[in-house]
Amino acid sequence: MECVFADLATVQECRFDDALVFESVFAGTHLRDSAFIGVTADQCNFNGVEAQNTDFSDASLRQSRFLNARLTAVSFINCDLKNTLFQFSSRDQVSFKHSNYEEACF
Amino acid sequence: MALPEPNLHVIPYFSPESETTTYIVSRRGGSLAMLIDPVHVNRDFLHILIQHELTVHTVCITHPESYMRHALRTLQKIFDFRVIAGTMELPVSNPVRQLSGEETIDCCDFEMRAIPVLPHSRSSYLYHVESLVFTGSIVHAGTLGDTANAFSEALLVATVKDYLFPLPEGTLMLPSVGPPSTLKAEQTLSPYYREEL
Repeated sequence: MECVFADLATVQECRFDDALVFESVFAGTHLRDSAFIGVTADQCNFNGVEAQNTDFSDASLRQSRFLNARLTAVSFINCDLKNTLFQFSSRDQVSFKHSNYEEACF
Repeated sequence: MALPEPNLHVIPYFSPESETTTYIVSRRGGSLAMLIDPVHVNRDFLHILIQHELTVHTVCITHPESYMRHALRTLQKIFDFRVIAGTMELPVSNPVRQLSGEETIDCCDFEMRAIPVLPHSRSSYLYHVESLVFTGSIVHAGTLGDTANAFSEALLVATVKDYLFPLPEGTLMLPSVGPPSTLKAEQTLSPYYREEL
């Protein structure tokens, strides 16, 4: 899947494991109890998402944006976060374990 | 209900070197291509054009940058194209169509509207084609491009509100920097456009 447009939607209990969703728009989406494990989501727009219990482990999120996002209990374990933007986002119980978060922008 | 078949074929090409995206736009099934903001022309980029049997007919520049000169020089050795930009000062010998204000241009079998963005710079333009708007480095997903000062930023916000937001909500915003977005998402989520600010 390239260029998915799911802005301002609600995604609940969905799995996108190992999917290719680069250059996609998830802006303003409510993500609940979902998993994006191993996805290639480079250059994706997650601005303004409200994510809860969401797992992005092993995902590639290069150049993606989480501006103004509300992230609660979200895992970014072992992710590629080069040039990923998290500015103006609120983060509660968020894990960046084994990710290159030093290359991201907070 | 079946969705209508899109008329345009848009191929984003992300250059890891410049960290920008060039868009290759053509009529579906057509052979003429329009490039938006070419920055890095390499083997992979040319392979995309060959694979889709496309010939570069027009190059549109949203905001002229010095780092585009290599791409333009390489392209002019291969293709005979015209350039559409807000300035004549470009490092190409190809014909340049200099924009002056808001214009509608026939290009590669489709109609394109050039929208000036004076607060960003005198040579900055957005390009609106059907349900797409190419914003270059002027407006990105969730943020704005560089402006000289806070007053210019406020003017840029006003320009976006006046020219972009009247377009249909589903219009896709394709910037050369960062991910794509939709006008509805920008209008709803970006702090720049909230009325109380």
